[in-house]
Amino acid sequence: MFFDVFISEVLQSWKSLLKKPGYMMLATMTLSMGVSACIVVFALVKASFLAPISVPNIDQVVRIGGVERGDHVGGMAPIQFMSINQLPNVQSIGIAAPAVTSVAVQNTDRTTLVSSWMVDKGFLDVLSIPMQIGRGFNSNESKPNGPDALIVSYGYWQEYFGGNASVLGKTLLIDGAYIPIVGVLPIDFPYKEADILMPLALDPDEVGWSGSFKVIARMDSSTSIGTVSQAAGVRLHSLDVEYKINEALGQFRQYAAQPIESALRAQTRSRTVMIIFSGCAAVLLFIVLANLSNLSLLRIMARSHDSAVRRALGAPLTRLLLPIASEQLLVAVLGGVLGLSIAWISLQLADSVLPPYWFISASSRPDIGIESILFSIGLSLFVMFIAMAFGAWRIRYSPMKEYLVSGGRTGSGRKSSQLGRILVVLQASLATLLLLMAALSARTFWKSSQVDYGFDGGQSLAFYIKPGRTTYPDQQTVLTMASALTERLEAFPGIERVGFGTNIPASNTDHHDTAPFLLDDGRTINSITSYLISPGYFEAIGMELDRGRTFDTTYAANTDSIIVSEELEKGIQTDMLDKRLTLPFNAVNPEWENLPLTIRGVSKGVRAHGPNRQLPPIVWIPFMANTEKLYDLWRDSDSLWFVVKVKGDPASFQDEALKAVRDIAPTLSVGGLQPVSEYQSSILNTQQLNLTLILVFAGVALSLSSIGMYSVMAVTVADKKHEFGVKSALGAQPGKLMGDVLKGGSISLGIGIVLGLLAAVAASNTIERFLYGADAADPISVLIIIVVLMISGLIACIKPAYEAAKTKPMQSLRME
Amino acid sequence: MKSVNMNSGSPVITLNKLCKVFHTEEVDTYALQDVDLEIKQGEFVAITGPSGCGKSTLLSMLGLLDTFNSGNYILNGRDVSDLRLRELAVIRNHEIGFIFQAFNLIADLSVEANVTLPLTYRNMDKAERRDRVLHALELVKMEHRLKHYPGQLSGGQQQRVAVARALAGDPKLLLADEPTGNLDSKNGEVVMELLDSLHANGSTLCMVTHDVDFAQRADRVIYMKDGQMVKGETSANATSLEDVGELAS
Repeated sequence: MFFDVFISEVLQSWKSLLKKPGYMMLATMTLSMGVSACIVVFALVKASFLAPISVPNIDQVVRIGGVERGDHVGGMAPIQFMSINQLPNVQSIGIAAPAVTSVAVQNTDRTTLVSSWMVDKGFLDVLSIPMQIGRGFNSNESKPNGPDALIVSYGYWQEYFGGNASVLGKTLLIDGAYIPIVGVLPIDFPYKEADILMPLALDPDEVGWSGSFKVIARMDSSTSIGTVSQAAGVRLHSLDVEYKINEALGQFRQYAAQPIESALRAQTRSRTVMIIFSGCAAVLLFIVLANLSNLSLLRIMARSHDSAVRRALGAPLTRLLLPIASEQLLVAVLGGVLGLSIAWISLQLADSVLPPYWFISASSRPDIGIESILFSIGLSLFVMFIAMAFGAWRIRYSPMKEYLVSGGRTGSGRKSSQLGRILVVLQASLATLLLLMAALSARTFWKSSQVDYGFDGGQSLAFYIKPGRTTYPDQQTVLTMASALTERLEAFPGIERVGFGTNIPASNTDHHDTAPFLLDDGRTINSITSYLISPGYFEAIGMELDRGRTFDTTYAANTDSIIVSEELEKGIQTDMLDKRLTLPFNAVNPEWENLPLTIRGVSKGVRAHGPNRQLPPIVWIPFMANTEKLYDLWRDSDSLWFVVKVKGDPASFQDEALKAVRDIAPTLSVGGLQPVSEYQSSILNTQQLNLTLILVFAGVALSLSSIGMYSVMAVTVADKKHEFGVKSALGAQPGKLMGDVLKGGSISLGIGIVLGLLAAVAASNTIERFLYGADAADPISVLIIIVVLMISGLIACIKPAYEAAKTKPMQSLRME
Repeated sequence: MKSVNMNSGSPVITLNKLCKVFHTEEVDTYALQDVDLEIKQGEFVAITGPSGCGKSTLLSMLGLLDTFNSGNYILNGRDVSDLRLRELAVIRNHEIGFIFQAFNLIADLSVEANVTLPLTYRNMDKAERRDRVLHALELVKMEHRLKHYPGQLSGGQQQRVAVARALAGDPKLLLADEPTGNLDSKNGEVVMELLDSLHANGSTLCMVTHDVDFAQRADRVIYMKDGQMVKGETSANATSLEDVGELAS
């Protein structure tokens, strides 16, 4: 083919495409939606799961600890860490504090609470990640009473030091001490919750059994995980035997080493939502392909006369397909570029909106890579291929003679119409599936927002402080300060009750305050969520007792009293009131040995971890003299939370809370000052975000299926213009003609909805894994999507139906 | 009335027992039944008959626009009965020129592009294409409308452009299906004069028409009824379709 002919044909096709831009706009938009949706989801999945973790030779790094529910490895106590400090075939081993906590960093004009985490030198050695600048902790800093040092995160360095290298050697004033900054973590440091790392120094002579510390190790390259796992297990088991841990708890604990990579990837906490999004994107992609196929088919049918004339004039197949290919090329380029642009904007938005824990590291942000561009090109070419396949099919099987005789007024043909309808049914069924997911997600969200948390924080304000050990060395000094603060707060008009404790339910902070308890009958209850609380805590947070009584206002009267939640009672199927629980610290903490606690009250179940999580069994322990050791164990990983019950809007009492803290504890800063209801709703934020994104998918799916429906109905009406003319000439009312069109659309839509619902039933086991308070066959959700789909489908049919209704008999009959 | 070259040239078209059947669920309808026909080079043949008699179907067969169920078709000495689609396309492009009742110009293409279109399927160089297009448009007196689009032309002008398109490829056979059917009498006459002059210059023409006056201008009129060719005869004495029918019977 001559080049000038080729160019001229291509340009001519584009020109005619631009003359009637409706098809081009629809096809371009549809393609761009498919491209952008897939790229966005892929970029998110990649940043969440597939991005490499910056730990060198990560396959040699393992986490060692007790095997917990779900077969994942948990933490271990410092004494256990000491016992495996010198494992064979292990290059280095390190330990980190159970949780990220916060420290008060005092600046010249204000104090800020900064998230901090304690790790030892070995922990950083195991990770072997080069610092951005500076160094990690040295051996001296990791010794008890060693020199102070801290490492700041990349983000903190950027925010507070402008990324300046002179940060090294500068100090931060923390809890009255100036601590030098010795290093800056790299941007892709895998543990990204903390902004400050401080050295964890364990004294071999004073290590105990409390706490659930993270222990990681780097193995020799020739060693298997099984070997390390076995060696650690033997030592830890011996330790349990030596300290009679098994005797006290009545059961053996299993220990193991597990690859750290899976643990790090699991902590992104976005696996479930990514599975949902990937499913949504796949369904959307099918809808896009069905819609583009439909649009291509309609376009090719619209070109039937043109094609027939060219065939009559002797055009070879390649020349007949060239206009189709040219048009599709333009659509592919525009759709691909537009899709990439939308994806880029969406990812920029996602990057600023999505929580950091969605991603492997700070450097693994969702971005458009070369694979996304290749996908865009591939999808566009695939769409071109589909269009050309339809074109070739039409050329091969459509009757040329009819088009030539009629001069282009012949209909599109029965098979093409049938194919168009099949594609509409396919789109409708896929849209049904996506809409059902969206409706069920909305229902789950609604149900979650309606859940009874077991307390009524509607009138309460919460905040936390972090009493440092320098100013408040023991529980007594903390209690004195907290009691004074309580008194000061209660003196403000409008404040009804104040309570404090080591945490509040639904604070969305990790609850590491767990302890084992022994029942009177010798049974053991493990890992019970425990709170140290003050009298007044229950009233302040609006929690009710099911039975029994709450704590007295005098601490002395509470020395042997605890309150348990009804979930704990349900778990052991015994009436717990007035029964006793014992904290079995035995030989490890001799002074607490068999500390007996009498259950004075049973509270209602409290959803401490959020509305969709199981109600945990909880033990409420009063702050009192003999809980000093317990508080001492927990205070580093916990803040001291205050709950303030007010008359009126809790948010309007923030100034009073700040003033009271300034008056009573001027060296402490206040964190998390907001109504308790805000904490409750923030737990739903991620769910709300997921819901929003699923609704976006569903909205796009609905739009695309409506476009598909409109296209098919518009072409059908144009095809049947003559039929409508005849009917009109025979006396059919416009309403009847309109009804015929709407009926045709409804049938296609109805079949699609039924197929979509059947598909949902088939996939109900999978769908229900992501739901709370609703099942896949939730009648309200099903009813809503049927109504939404029918309305959108009928709206798409209205214009074609109106066109049919206003058919003039003579105009269409002359077409004969 | 012209009678040049009658029965003098070699056959361009030879049909033997050509049949075209439309199968439906209930009954088979014979659109063409055992049609035998020979058209010689330079001959002008008119095919006429009542609606539904099969004349347009026959023209579609002659133009290789449709396939037949049985029989033989020899075009320019070559049996085209079992050719593949690609080969049929080449023959249509090189050997046949079409003129349709509905003009069948492509609305998005200019007059020049419409006339050029069949030549672009031949890998002909640009200069030759342009020469041929200009020549063809001059023949139909439409060279001044080169850059116009079909929608900007009258029906008569559109049909003249369609004739130019048919001529541009210098085909051995011109097939016209009701070429005046969509035109008023004045424009119809213009188009017929064009066909007459082409015939006078040696072109082989086969025209389907309802119009007896126009049919009379052919060398030979073929009357069709119920898919069968009733009789081949010159039309010198025919004044109406009924006459042709009587003559045929």
